[in-house]
Amino acid sequence: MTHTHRIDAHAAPAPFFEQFDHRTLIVVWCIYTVLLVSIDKFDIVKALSFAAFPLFAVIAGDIRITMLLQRLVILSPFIIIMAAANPFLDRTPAFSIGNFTVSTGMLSAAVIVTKAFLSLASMLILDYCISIDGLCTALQRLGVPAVFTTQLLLLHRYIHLIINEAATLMRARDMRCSRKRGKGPLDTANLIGTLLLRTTERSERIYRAMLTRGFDGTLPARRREHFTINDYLFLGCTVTLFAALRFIL
Amino acid sequence: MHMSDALLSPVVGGIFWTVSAVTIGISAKKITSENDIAKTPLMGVMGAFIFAAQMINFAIPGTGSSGHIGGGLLLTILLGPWRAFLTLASVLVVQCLFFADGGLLALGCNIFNLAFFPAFIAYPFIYRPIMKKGFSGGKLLLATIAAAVTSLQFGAFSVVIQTVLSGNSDLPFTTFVLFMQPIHFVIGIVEGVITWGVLVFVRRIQPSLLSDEPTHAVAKPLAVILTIIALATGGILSYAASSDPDGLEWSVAKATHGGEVSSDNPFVTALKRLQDKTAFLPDYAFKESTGKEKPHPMSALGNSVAGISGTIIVLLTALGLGIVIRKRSRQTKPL
Repeated sequence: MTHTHRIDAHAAPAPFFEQFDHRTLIVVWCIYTVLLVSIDKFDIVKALSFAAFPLFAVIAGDIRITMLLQRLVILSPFIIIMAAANPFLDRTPAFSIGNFTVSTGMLSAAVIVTKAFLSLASMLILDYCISIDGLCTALQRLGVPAVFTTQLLLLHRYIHLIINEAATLMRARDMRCSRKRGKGPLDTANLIGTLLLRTTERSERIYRAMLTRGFDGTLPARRREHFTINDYLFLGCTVTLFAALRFIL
Repeated sequence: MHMSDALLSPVVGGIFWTVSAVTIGISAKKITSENDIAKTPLMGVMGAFIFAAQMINFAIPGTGSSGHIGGGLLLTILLGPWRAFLTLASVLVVQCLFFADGGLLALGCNIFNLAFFPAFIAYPFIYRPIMKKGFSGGKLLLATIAAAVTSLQFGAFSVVIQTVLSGNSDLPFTTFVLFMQPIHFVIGIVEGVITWGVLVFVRRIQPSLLSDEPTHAVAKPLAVILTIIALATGGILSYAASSDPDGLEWSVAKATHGGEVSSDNPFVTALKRLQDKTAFLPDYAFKESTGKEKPHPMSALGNSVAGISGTIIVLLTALGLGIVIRKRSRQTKPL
């Protein structure tokens, strides 16, 4: 059940970030990610300095740090394998601390892990700062096709319903099965097939209900937004900070 | 198989962002032109279905571990390539923005690796040709396994290419490929079997759901997308082409203590001379007039021109080959 953390909690963004147009937030986060990713593979100092923004956002947005840390602990095994390989493959000495020699492979591994942590932290924070309606409005204004934003809205709206349906099916299966019997790939295929039939049945009901409400192919996003002086200030300050961290430090 | 920001370079991430965004745009245009609003809520709930289906774990026989379905192929079979691509892309956007699965820059790579291949490669080129001449359980099993394996092999290989081109990991190309491809081959077989199981179940309980399997022609717009991708990969990335040896060259250099493989065999020498005469972009750059002197001043441009020219040549060769094969198969009378 990894996908059930606060899916229905995007109705209102974190207090400080609520005042901004979602386009501002998307642009700021994109610039942050690109500049973070562009840091040299051995420059651990610069990579660490980019922690400044997530730190600021957690405090300013009044985001519970314990929830954030819980998610940060689970770093992708793929990243860990990729980073762990570097110290063995690149043993060129970089510098020594006492008798201990730090290799460039160790530095590049540390940079990969730092970037992964910061990128994950920034995405988790963004998760607390945006609402689905605001996101879809912003994406539409940034030129994303209405078909896609409608799809996002519908997907977000029905995720927890279908997930609950799946959870019910799984619970029923687990209660009937002893150990691994009945949990093999083909039994699971039948379970997924049942979920699929229930899903399509639900989609027909939803479609009829939407038609009665005048559905014409797209769902309008409810949030109305516009740029204010605060947006320009936030954009200016954060981009200046990122540029300073990336190019001057 | 989610790609991470930490392993990407901005150039590679940007290119795949562009490719995915263009494909989303083309898919949206295609869907809008169909004007079938009844399928809009279906796409929404099917996206949610894929989310939920990924939660349902199954025991992998003989390993003691468990796995879950990816769902890309199943979605493509049920919705058709364009709608499936858009639905999978929306699932990946929600996973990225609301569950922090994969990074913001890596989103383009993830859409490309996980949605493009099942929708635009495995389905039209593997699944549909096998299923074209009627249904049977055995053919469906073959089609789903072959399509699932193909999409996962392409996806895994794409992850390797993106990581190696970005240059943040020191893992050599060969080692990485040998690590990724076999494991995704096995995952592909399991994915294919489960997809087959779901389709057989649905066909038994509610055959009407599969009776109008989409038959959208994807060839023309797909050719446009593939051309863009090929040109972007060949042309833009070659600007950043490394002068360091690739995995194979590295292995050869190690084996031969630093040099290229040389041979005194007269047949090999003759072939080399012929190659020197015919290759108009040797080593992916403009030909130098006097051989070993200073580097050509336009070598960077030469790399890109070489990349694009090479891509065009490959595309034309593939096109020619395709035409020949089509003509031959038309000439061959069915038994």
